Amino acid sequence: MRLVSSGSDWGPTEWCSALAEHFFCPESAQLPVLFFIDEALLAALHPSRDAGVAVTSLSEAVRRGLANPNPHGYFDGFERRGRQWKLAGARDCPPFLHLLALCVLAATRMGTGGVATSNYRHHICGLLDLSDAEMPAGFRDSLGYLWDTLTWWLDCHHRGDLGLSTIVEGKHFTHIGYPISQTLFRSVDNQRLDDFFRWIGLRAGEEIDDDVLVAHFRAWAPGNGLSDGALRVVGEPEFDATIRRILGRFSQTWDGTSSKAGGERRTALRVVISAFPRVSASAMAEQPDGFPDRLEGAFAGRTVSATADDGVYSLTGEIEGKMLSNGLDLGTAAARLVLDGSDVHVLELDAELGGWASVKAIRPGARHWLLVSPAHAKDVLAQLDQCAQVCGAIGPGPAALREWTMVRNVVFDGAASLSGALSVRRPTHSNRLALRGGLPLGAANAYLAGGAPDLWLPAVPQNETGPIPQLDGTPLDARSEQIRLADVLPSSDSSSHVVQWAGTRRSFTTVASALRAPESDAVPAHGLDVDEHNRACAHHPPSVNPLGSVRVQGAIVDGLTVPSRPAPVLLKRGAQSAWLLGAQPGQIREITAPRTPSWHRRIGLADQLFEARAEFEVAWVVERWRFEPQLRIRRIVDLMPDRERCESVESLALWAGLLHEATLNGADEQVSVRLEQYRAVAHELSGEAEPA
Amino acid sequence: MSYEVLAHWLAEVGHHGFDQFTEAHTWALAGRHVASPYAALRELSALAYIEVDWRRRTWGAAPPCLTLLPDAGGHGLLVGARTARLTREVDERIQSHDAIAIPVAQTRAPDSIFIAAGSETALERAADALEIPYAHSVVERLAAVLPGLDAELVTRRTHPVVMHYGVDRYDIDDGWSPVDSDDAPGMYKYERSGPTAIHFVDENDARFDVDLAVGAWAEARRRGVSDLLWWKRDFVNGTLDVPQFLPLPSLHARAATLCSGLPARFHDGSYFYVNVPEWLAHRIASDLAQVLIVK
Repeated sequence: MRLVSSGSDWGPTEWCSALAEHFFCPESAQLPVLFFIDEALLAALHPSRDAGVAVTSLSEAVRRGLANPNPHGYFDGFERRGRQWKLAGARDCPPFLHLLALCVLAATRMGTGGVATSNYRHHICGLLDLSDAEMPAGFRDSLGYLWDTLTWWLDCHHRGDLGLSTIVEGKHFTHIGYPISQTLFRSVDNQRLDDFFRWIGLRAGEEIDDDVLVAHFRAWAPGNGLSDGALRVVGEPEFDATIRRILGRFSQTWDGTSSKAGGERRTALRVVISAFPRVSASAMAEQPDGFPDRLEGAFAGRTVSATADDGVYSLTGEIEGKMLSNGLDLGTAAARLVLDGSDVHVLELDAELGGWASVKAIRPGARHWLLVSPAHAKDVLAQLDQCAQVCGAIGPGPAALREWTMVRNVVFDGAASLSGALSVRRPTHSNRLALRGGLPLGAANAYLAGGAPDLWLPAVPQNETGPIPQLDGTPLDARSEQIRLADVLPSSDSSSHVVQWAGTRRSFTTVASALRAPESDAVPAHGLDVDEHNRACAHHPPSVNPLGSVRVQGAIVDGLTVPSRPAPVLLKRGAQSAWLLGAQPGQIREITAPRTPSWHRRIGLADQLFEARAEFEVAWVVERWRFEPQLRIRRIVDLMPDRERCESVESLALWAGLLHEATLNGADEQVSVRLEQYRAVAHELSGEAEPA
Repeated sequence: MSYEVLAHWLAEVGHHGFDQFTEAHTWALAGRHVASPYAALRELSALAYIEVDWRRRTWGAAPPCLTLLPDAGGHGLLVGARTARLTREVDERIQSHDAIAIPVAQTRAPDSIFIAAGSETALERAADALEIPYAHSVVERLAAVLPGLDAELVTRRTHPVVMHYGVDRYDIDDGWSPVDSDDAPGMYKYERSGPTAIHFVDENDARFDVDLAVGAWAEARRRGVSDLLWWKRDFVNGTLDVPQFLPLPSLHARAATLCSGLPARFHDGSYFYVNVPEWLAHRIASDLAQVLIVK
C-alpha cells in the first residue's frame, strides 16, 4: 500500500519514503537488496509517471539540501541530519536516501552524454546543477559516511528484516565506488540466478558455502546472459562480499523450483522409460508444493496437458519424438513444467518416478539409458563405441519413439570429449567443483599414495575458458572437466595438498601403505556343509558369518582334513635322466622330463625344474649328468631304509646299484650317515642281484 | 593406472561395499576399456584376492598365503590380497631363502607374483620370511570342497520379486536380452532401484536367488546341454575351455585359476584356464552336470 503523498512536486521526505518503501520492506527480509536507480524506476515511483519530471523532482529535492561548499562541503547538511537521525534511534527511513538515489542515477548514466565511460563527475554535477570542473566538495567523506549508515541501518539496526545491504566501496573508483556497486548487478541478473542454481543442481535446503557458490558462479557466468555490470561484479575481487551475499542469501530461498531472485516457479518434466509390463515412454515430474494438479500448454497446434496423481505429474497421451527434440512447456510462470528439447536424452534409474528418467548430464560411473534422435544416432553410437566403458543393448525406442534409438546400460568412467549432440551431456558431477575418484582411505580426505583423487571442474561451455585451478600453488592444465591429480603427483607421494580454484579451496592427503597384510575383520567366507563322505552338500554363499562346517576364505580352507597327495619332487631338466628312490629296496621310478607347457613359456617363467611324483614316498633322487660325477644323489625325505623288498629283481638291482654308485655332494654328516645305512642294505642285496 | 594399484587399495582398505569398489575400479581403470566392476569382482575372487558377499554387496580382502602351483616347475604363487608394502618387500625378504619373486603383469587383474625356489622347503622358508602361511597346493584343498549344482542351489530358494524396471532373460549362447514376462523356466535378471536380482526358475517353478555363474550352469542343465566344458592337454596339465556366457561358479573358478595364478584368458568366445590337471577338469565338469570333452 502506497503511503507517500501523491503530490506532483515531491520533497525530500516524499522521495525518501517512496524509495524506502520500494527497496527496504519486509518482503526483502534477509535478502540482498540492490539500490538500483534509473529513470524508469523513478518514473514508476513518482506520481507524474514521467521520467523527466521525476528526475527533475529528485534533483531539486536533493539540491535543496546542499550546503555551502566551505568549510565542510556541499553535503554536510545531509551528513548532520543523518547523524541526528541515527542518534535519535533511526526511526522512519534514512533522511538521505534521495541523495544516495541521485548518486546511483548518475552512475547509471556513465557512458552516455559524450563523455568518457568512466566519467562520473559530469553526470553527478549535472544532476546537482554544479560545475563539473571538479568533484563537489565533501563528496567522498560525506557520501562514504551516508552509504555506511545505510548499511548499518539495514544490517545492524533492522538485522536484515528490511533486506541486506550489498553496498561496497569499490576500490577501483576513488569517489564513486559506493553508488556504482548498486548499479552493476541488476534485477535482470537476479532473475538469471535460478538458472545458475539449476545448473549446479542445487537441492532445496542444501547448504553450500558462499565462497563455493561464488566460485561456481564465476565458472557459469560467461555466456549466460548476465549484464556487463554483473560480469564485472563476478570478475573483480572487491565485489566478493557483494556477490557472496547475493548468491548465499538467494540460494537459501531456493525451493527446487525457484528462489526469491527469480520470476517463475519451474520444475523439469522428464522423459521416463518404464520397462515393465512392457517398455513404454512418458513424460513425468514430481509435483512441487503449491503446483496445481493439472497444467496445460500448447504443442504443435494443440493443447497438451499433464495431470498429477499422488504427487507425480504424467503427460496425458503419448510422448512424441518432436517433444523430445523441441521440448515441451506446460503451465504459467507461477507453475511451469519444462521438458528441455534435445537430440540426446540421458536417463538414469529413478525410484520415485518408477523407471529410467532423464537427467541433465552423464554421471561418471553411473548406468544410463540413452534416447537418441534419428538424425544423430550414427554419430552418437560411434562416440559411445569409442568413449563409453560399457554399452548395452541397442534398439528402437518404444511406441511413438520407435524412430529414436534406445541404448541401454551406458557407463562412462570419466570425462570424455564428446561432441555434437552429446557435447551438452558430457560427464559432470552436477557442475560442482569436486574431488572424486582416487583411492580413498578411512580417514577424511585421505587417499592411498598413488591414488590421489581427480579434480572435477564445472563444465564450462565449449570454447570458453574457466578459472584455472592450482595444485599447491602451481597452475594445472585444465583442458577437461576432469584433472587426474594422480598423474601430476609422484606415485610414492605421501603428503598434504591444497587445490585452489576461483577463490575456493579443497585439501587432501596422500598416505603411504602402512599395513603388511590386510585387516581380517569383516571379510566374507564361503560356508559349506559336507556329508559323511566329505563331499560338499550345501554351499552357503560368502558372508561374514557363513553357516557350514567348512569355511573357505581366499585360498585358505578351514574345517576339513584333506588327504594330500605326496609332495612332488623337483628335478632339473638339465639332467640326462633321473630316478626317484623309496625307502623300500626296489622302490624306484625312472623319470623323463616332460616338455615345457606353452603357458610357462608365454609368461616367461624359468623352466630349469620340473615336478615328478612317485606312488611311494621318495627318499632319494639320483640324476645322471654329462660330466663327473655323472651319477649324483640327494636326499628328499629322511626315511630309515626298509627291510622289506620288492619282488622285481630288476628293480632291486637298479635301486641297489644307484645307491652304490651315485655321489653325494656337499651334504651334512647326518645325510651321509643315512646314505651309508641305505648302501649297507644295498650291499646285502648285492649277493642276490647284480648291481646296475 | 592398473589393477595392481586397485589391488593395493583393496588390501589396504580391507573391506567395503560395492559402491566404493565400483568408484575405485572406475577410477583406477579409467580409459582402459576393461571389464565391468562386477566382472572385476568375479576375477579378483577367482584369484582368491577378495571374497565377495553378493547379497550384501560387500567384499573383503582375503588373507595372503604362499602355495605351490601344480606341475609348474616348482614355482610358488603368492595368493591373496597384497598391500603395497607387502608387495614392495616380497623380493627383499625372500632373497636370502634361495627364492626370487617373479611378478608377471596382467591386463585384467593384479600382477601374478610367482616365487621361484629350488624346493618346497625353500618356499616354506620364503613364506616364513613374509610372515604369511604356506599352504601346500591350495588347488587340491579347494577341489576337495567344490560344491555341485544341487549343493549350490539348495541354499538359494527364494520368492518372486516385483518387476518394476525391466526383466532380462539369459540365453547361454547370447547372454541377456529383454523380455516381457518371466513365466517360463529360465534365468532372469530384474532391474531394481538397488542392485539387480538374478533368479533361476526351474521346471517346477521353484525359484532360486543365484549369481550369474550358478544360474547359467543350472540353466544349461535344465536345457540338457552337457558338452560345454572342453579340456586340451598341454604336455603336463591342460587348458580348460569355458564358454563366455557360462562363467564358472566362484569356488570352481578359483580352483581353476589357482592352477596357474593367471586370470582366465578370453579368446574367441571362451575363457581359457591354463595348467588345469585333468582330474580337476573332470571334477569341475561333474559338479556342473557336464561331461568333459577332452580334445
